[in-house]
Order: sequence, then C-alpha cells, then structure tokens
Amino acid sequence: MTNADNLSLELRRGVIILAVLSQLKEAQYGYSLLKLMAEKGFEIEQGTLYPLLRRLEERGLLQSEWQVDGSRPRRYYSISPGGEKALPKLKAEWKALVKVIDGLLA
Amino acid sequence: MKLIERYIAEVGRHLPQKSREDIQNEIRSTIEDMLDDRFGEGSRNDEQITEMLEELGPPKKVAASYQPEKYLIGPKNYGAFIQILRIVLIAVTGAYLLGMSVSFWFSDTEQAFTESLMNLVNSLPGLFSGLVTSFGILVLVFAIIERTRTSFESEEEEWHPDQLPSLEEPEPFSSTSQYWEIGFTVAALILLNLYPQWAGIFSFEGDNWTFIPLLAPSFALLLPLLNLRWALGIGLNSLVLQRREWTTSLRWAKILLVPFDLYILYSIVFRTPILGLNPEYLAFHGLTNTDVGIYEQLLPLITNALNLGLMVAFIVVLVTTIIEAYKLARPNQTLPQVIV
Repeated sequence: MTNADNLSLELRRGVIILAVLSQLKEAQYGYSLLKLMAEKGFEIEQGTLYPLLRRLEERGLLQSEWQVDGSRPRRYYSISPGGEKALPKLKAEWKALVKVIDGLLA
Repeated sequence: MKLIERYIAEVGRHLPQKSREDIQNEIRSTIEDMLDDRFGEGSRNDEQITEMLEELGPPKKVAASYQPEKYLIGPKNYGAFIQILRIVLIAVTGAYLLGMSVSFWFSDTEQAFTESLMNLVNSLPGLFSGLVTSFGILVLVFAIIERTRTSFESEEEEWHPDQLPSLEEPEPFSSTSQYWEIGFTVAALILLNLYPQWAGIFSFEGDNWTFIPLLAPSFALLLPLLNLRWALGIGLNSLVLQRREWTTSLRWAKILLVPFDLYILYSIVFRTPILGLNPEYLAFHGLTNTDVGIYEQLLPLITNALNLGLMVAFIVVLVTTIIEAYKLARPNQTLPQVIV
C-alpha cells in the first residue's frame, strides 16, 4: 500500500462513523449495509465495517438483535437513541468542515 | 461447507471467549450472504467457497480486527516507563562501574592498570545480566500497571490558567525529580535484593586486584524493612506524579515515612551492622576469609565512618522534618515546593 493510499484510508476512517450512522435509521444486517453503502458510492471493507458496528454498539450509538425471519439468522443493527442524539451534531460538524476545507482548497 | 466451518473455528481460536460465539455466528451469516450474492442461492462447490474465504482474508487478521489494540505498555505510560528505565539503567551501570573506576584510580603501575582493565572486561557479562534483569522487572511492573489500567500521569482534568505556578515560586513542580527518585529506588531495590554481592570495594593485594564484598549476613534482616520503605516511597512519588503537586496530605504522608527512615538509620548504627564479611558473597567471588585478612581489621574503621555519616543523616532528617511539619501545621502559609 502506498503512502497516498494510507493517507486516504486515514481520511476516510474519520467519516465512516457518520456514514454508517446515517444509513441505519432502518435496521440492516452487516452485508446489506455494506451493499447499500457501496450502491451509494461509499465502498467499505467488511473487515472494517463489522468490527466498527460492534464498537459503535458498545459505545451506545447503535443497537442490534438477531433475527431469524429470513433464510438464515442475521444480526440487524439500527441507530440507538444515543446515536440519534449524536447524528445531528456530527452532521452539522461535517457540513461546517466541508465548507472550511473547500475554502482552504480553493 | 466444511471449509467454512474450519475457517470459522480458526477465527474463533483467536477471539476472546466472551464474544467468540456471537462473532462466529455473524461471520458465518456474512459468508453465506456473500456466497448467495456472488453465486446465487443453492449448493456450493469448494472452489467458490475457497474464492470467498480468500477474499475475507487470513482468520487471524479477521479475528484481530474485532479486538482493540493491545499493549504491554500503552502510550499513556510509555513516557514514564522510558524515563524510569533510563534512570534505573544509569544507576545500575553507575553502581557497577563505581567499583571499577576505583581500581583505575589506584592503578599506579602499568601492570595494575592492565589487571583492572581485565577486571572490567571480565565483569561485563555480570553487568549485562544486571541490566537485562532490571529491564525485565521494570517491564513486568509496567505491564501490571497497564493491566490494571492505571496511569502515572493524571487524566486530563479541569484546568484553568490561574493554576499555573507563579514565576516567583522558587521551585515549581517538576516531575523529573519524582522520576529520578523512583528510578533510583527501583535500581536500589534490584541491586540490593538480586545483586547484594556487588556491594564492596576493590583491593590491590600482591599482584592482583580483588573485589571484596562488604555486605554483612545480617543485612538480610534489614532488607524486608528497607524494601517496604522503598515501596512506600515509590507509591508516594507515583501519587505526586498523578496529582502533579505536593498536596498537604501528600506532604503529611511523606512526614509519616520519616520515622521509618529514622528507625532504619538507628538500626544500622546500633543494632544491625550492614557491613561485614559474608562467607556466601566471598565464595561467590572465589574468596575465603583468609584472602581478605586485612579487611577484617579495616572493617571496624569503615563501619565507624559509615556510622558517623548515618548519625549526621539522622540528625539532618530529624531537624528538616520538624521544620517541615511545623510549616505544614501553621495555617495559611505558602509552602515552598520541597522535593526530596
């Protein structure tokens, strides 16, 4: 992996939480979330996503439950009340940041 | 399908017991979702599964991604570890080389100089083992500290610029002296507990330099008390480092340790002589009592000199402590930062 690759990985790492929280208003299991995000242009490795979902749950931003209604048991994650509270703040922070960085890069 | 179960079992081997089953179930469900997505629902062949598992990556790596980074000594305590390690290694090397430099100092003939140089070279493995042991012990202690999730330096707490020490204050708090004190204490603990045979002097007799260990067997009686006192001292210094100041209660704690010091000094002078020829240490250096005959006569002289020094220390400690306690007991008095 080149230095530039590492740098973009670091840059993306910070915004993954925001991306994930924004897509979990409706419950998703890991693989469906991965596909959903990829469809919207946000590619994320499963080795990154699955552990992240667990960590966000441990921090009280997500909640999860096993469901067996489909062809196999799957763990569904959705945003928790704690996550609902954090999301608008993160969104506002992101928007302000984009504006500032755009200004810097112009 | 056996391949999938083998893969999942291997991932589980690298996961903590607590979350193992849950993570394994999630990985199993993901692999099946991936297979459905890639090759459609239905039966699978081994080639398809192999391709999928290769994409997922080595089981060890997958398991590691579920766990927080682990440290033997984490970033929070690494700075303290390095500072104390440096001091301990310097002190251990210093103690060892002190004896050596004495022999160089007194080597007036070329032969004596060569002999003492040989002594230095021959003793290097001993120094090396002492340094490695000190390093190992310190790593062990810091690993335990890391495990119990304590930190030498305090967590970020509420802070206000008013708390900055004034420039007129003679000695603002400095963590360096605490680190030096902890470092020296650890070095003393290691040296006197593990290498007591190192304490001694070099003597030039006949054509040879001889190292004479001078710690008496009765020193062992005093050692538990010394260890306790030093352990308490390290504890106190760690607390001072955490608080980043000598609070009133910490000052009182320091004063409470003084009777300990006085008792130890008194014991050495009047009850338990620490200098003497220990047959065990002599044997360690390949000597017998007859080899060091002259030192049996010289010992009382050295002991008297030591006792005189210790009695002076006794008086100095007593007087400075009384002054400090008096200052502490007086209310609304600005205290100078006394760091001993």
